[in-house]
Amino acid sequence: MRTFIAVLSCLAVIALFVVLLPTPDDASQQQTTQKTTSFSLPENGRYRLTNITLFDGTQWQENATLLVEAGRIVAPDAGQTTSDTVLDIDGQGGIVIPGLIDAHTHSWGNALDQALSFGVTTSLDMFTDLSFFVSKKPQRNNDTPVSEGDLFSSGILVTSPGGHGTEYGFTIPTISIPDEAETFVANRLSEGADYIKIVYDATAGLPTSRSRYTSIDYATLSAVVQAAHDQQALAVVHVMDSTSAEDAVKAGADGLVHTFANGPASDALIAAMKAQDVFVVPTLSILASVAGEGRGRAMIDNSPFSGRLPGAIESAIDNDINVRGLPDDYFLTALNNTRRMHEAGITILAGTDAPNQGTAHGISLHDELALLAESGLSPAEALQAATYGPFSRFDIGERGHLKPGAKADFIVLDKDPRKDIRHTQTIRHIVKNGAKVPAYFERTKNIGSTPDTGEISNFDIDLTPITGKRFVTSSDNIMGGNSSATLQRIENGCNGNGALSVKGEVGNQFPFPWAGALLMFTESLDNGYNLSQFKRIVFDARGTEGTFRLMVMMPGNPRPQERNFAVSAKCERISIELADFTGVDWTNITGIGWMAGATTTPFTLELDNIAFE
Amino acid sequence: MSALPLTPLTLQQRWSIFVVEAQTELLKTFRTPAFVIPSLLFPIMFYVFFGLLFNSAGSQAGNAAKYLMATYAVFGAIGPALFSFGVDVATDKDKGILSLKLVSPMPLSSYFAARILVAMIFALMIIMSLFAVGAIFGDVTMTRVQWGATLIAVLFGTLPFCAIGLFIGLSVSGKAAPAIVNLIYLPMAFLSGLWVPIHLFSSSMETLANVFPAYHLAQLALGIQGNSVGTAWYLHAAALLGYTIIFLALSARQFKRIDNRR
Amino acid sequence: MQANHSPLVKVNAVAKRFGDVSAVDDLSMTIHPNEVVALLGENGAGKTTTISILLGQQIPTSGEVSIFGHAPGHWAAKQQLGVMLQSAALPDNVTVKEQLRLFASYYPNSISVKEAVETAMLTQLERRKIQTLSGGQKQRLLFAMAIIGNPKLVILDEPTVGLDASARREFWKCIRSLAENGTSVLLTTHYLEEADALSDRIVVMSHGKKVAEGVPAEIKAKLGGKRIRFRTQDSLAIIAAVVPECEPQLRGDYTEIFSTSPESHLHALFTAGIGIQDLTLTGISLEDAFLQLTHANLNTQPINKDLTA
Repeated sequence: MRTFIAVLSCLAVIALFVVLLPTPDDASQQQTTQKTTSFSLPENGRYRLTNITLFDGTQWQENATLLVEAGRIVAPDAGQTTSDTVLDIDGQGGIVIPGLIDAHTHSWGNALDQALSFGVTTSLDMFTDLSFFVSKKPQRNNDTPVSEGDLFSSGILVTSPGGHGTEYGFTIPTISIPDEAETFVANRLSEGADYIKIVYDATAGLPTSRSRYTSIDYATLSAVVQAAHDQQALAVVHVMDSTSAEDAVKAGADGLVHTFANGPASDALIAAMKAQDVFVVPTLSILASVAGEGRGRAMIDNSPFSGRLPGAIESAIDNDINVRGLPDDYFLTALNNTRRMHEAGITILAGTDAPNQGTAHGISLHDELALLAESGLSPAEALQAATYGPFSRFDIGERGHLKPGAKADFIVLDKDPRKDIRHTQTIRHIVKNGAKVPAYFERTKNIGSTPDTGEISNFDIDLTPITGKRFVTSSDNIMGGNSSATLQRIENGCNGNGALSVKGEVGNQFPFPWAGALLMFTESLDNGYNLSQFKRIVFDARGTEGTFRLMVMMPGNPRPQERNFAVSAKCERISIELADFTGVDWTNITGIGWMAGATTTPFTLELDNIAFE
Repeated sequence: MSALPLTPLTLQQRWSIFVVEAQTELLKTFRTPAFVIPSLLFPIMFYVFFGLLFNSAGSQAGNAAKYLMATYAVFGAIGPALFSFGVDVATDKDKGILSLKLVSPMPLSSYFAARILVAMIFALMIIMSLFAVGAIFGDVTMTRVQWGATLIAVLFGTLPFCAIGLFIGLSVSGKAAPAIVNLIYLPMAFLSGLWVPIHLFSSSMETLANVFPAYHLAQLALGIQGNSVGTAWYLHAAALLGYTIIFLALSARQFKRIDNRR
Repeated sequence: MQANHSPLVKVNAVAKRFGDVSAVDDLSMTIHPNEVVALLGENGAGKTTTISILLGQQIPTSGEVSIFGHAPGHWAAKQQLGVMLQSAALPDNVTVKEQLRLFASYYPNSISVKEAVETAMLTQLERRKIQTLSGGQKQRLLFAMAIIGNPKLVILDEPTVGLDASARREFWKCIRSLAENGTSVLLTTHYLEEADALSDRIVVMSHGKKVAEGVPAEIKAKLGGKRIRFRTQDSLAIIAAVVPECEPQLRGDYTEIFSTSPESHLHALFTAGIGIQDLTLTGISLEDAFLQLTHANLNTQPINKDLTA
């Protein structure tokens, strides 16, 4: 008996010890303060950066200088003639690399701004909302200071009716037969597309396929590639498996914008890619997220970014897609395919597929470079995959290098990425069009206004909240879904007085359906409330038995964070700790939503006595 | 003489023998500071030198501290396992203590279980000290599950080394045992990437590391924090199990030669 | 004496060979309850091998052994047996009490540590670490470990080797008090004095063979030798030529011979005209007899035939 007690108490001590060990959440966010020695560039945009190590896209130069004029790099001797008017800026031994190019993004909202804050000065978009592209396209030709990265895009992608790309809630043109190819490509180019991006899945429709999308057939693929080439446009293909990749290469594609992980690349494919000089954008970042590699979490915890990231970015990269049931070596296969293609001499370009789940604009490209290094690229080769590589493959003007004539887009780094490619993360300064732009850690943090009280409403009088602007309905019909909701004040709520009643139905046309009530804190989605002084949100609820979700909206992050809560026909006080939300920056919240999901439809939900405590 | 009821030992008797045996072993060991202090201090000292001081310069300081915390935990834990079995069994064998115990009704299981317990208690102390040092001075953070899993993996990962130690202890004399154990322990620790991360090795050396059980245990521990070279964890676990079985079988053969008298 | 009790140990025509070397040859013996048996022989006579066979450490090449009706090494045999091995050492850094408690745990019917300490005369030493004990105390601790399981038979392999006279005598006391309690003892020794002092029966071994067996008095009677001691001018060789079976030896100024029939040997010496001075004639101790016996056996002297007949 005594022995058992002794053994038990020993185990208890060990358990206590383990519990006391620091976990990432309560990790002290101490950070060595970055050397922020003054680095002010003259307003006339004419200066000579000295005392730097320079990577100009192809070559390294110690003790280099870089002459900048009017947003462009100019030859050193051009500066000598007028040296009296050129200001020398001490680069303080920094490492200067060209601004990075992400060769696979989907850009909208603040994507270009966010990308630039991590030194990604150019994004090659692979499908976005056309109006966004058209509005951003002109500024890439500008050599005067800008606050966003430059955008190139395929505009609307090429896909079949019901194919991948049609699921985002807005209608896009699709293609069904080879004969439509020429017109289809011409339409894209006339819309302003810089290149043609095609979605192709050879396995679609096969009984073994797990995809819910259709795909264009091989004949159409081949015709679109041909049409693009006829009209002097690059044709790149989205593939996710080896068969599709082989077809795409056979059809004459210029590049593949994903690698694949369903199996090893065949020697024949590699040989064909080599022979036809097909490049590949492996987008290992998104494949790592699919595989649940936890890369984002690792960057949050242990990288030069740690402790300095905006909450919205942390929440974006913290949650991998993490598809269940994948083979253990899924991601390894992707790495190995990339490795073998690289060893065969096939051009590898760095692209992230941001902002798909688990990735974010800008930051993920740094991790992509680390993943390329893991696939066997030397640090210098990985660096080229995001600079000189895209420059030499895409028609994007003089960018991606720092030779005379190039855009003066560059990053000054603390540490040499030749030693460790992850040193691209040691950003000291970011320069775009010759002017310094604030890096992510230099952005003044947007903190919302602090509310006078945490009380929201007891709905005794009407639906107007004490804190916040107003309650609105919210559902997936803004994304093309068919869910709906209505709001109503009812007299006999939980305590017999006024309450908010939400009724609605959750449809099935949008893949991630929702419907419910949203409390908007401000009319603008850019700024909200600082709720960081509160510990929890409490409210009374009753309604359709089942699980509902409490959603938190943040500025600049299209994806809300959510926690589930259970509702029954009986009135219950529900309390949710704010700390239980991952990746939410409570200093700036634009709204809180009470939403039903696919499992609770049709639904009613009565809310009362809502407050932050 | 009274007719004694003779019965084979019951499980409860075996357990109480194990308890007394373990208590005695622990008392004996902890009264030997010359063994206890180096065993506990060496891995921690090495970790502080190589894991914390040298790596604090790197940009990935927290990660290096975390990586090396796992490998030095393995280094620290397998030492007592090899020594407790290798050297102590050899000494017991040479002195005839083992012979005396074998002719007594002592169940062999209790003897070995007690030794395994001592090795594990040492491993536990080393792991916990390294965790504390890593957490306090190396800013290492992991989830509770990761901390717990690392602790359990390394703790039970000492078993194959108990088997290897047993084989050594039964095969060589008590005088030779410390030298032999060190000759296996230290090079294996280095070549398995316990002192410096395995990816700094040439690929042929990385391949060679597969030979060593310490490599597999280290990869198992590193896999928990997502720093392994990528081989599936169950392959490492299978390799460790394989080593355990092989060396237990070899030890069983060697056991018959215990009697040192001709 | 215990004719109605079946023997605890039966050894029947056992032989053990290591390659060409025969360690035990055609040995038969029994040990009965309440009996102290001494296995007497020189180093290398096969005593320890015999013990090993009884304990199951060695498997005999031929012959049968049963101990408490079981095969050697059987758990039931082990539980009724206490053992003190010749080569066994003790661990350091453990106290007497801790070591005894450990061994007590092995036996289902063990006696208390206090009782064992008293029998082995280790009171006051319970809390001492083993490495601080004297040689005699260590031997008595090993003895205490052998008896703590309340065994029916205690096997002691050379229990007093290396001890000085007083330590040895203390040890004897322990063995006697054990025998008085009715425990059977099998001890090996090469001290005839020890066998004489402790045992009810002596089995004499030489070169793996049993050369004599009986109560100490019987063996004395059979040997019945005398030591003849004198000074002389004549060389050892001359004397040896006169009495070849007596193996004369020089001890300082004196010449010594052992004789089973001193009268006829002295007569022969005088007849041969050896000049003898300072003659003494003493009774031979059992030890001398034993030495004489085993030597004689080695040299295949006639005396040996008498004894093995």
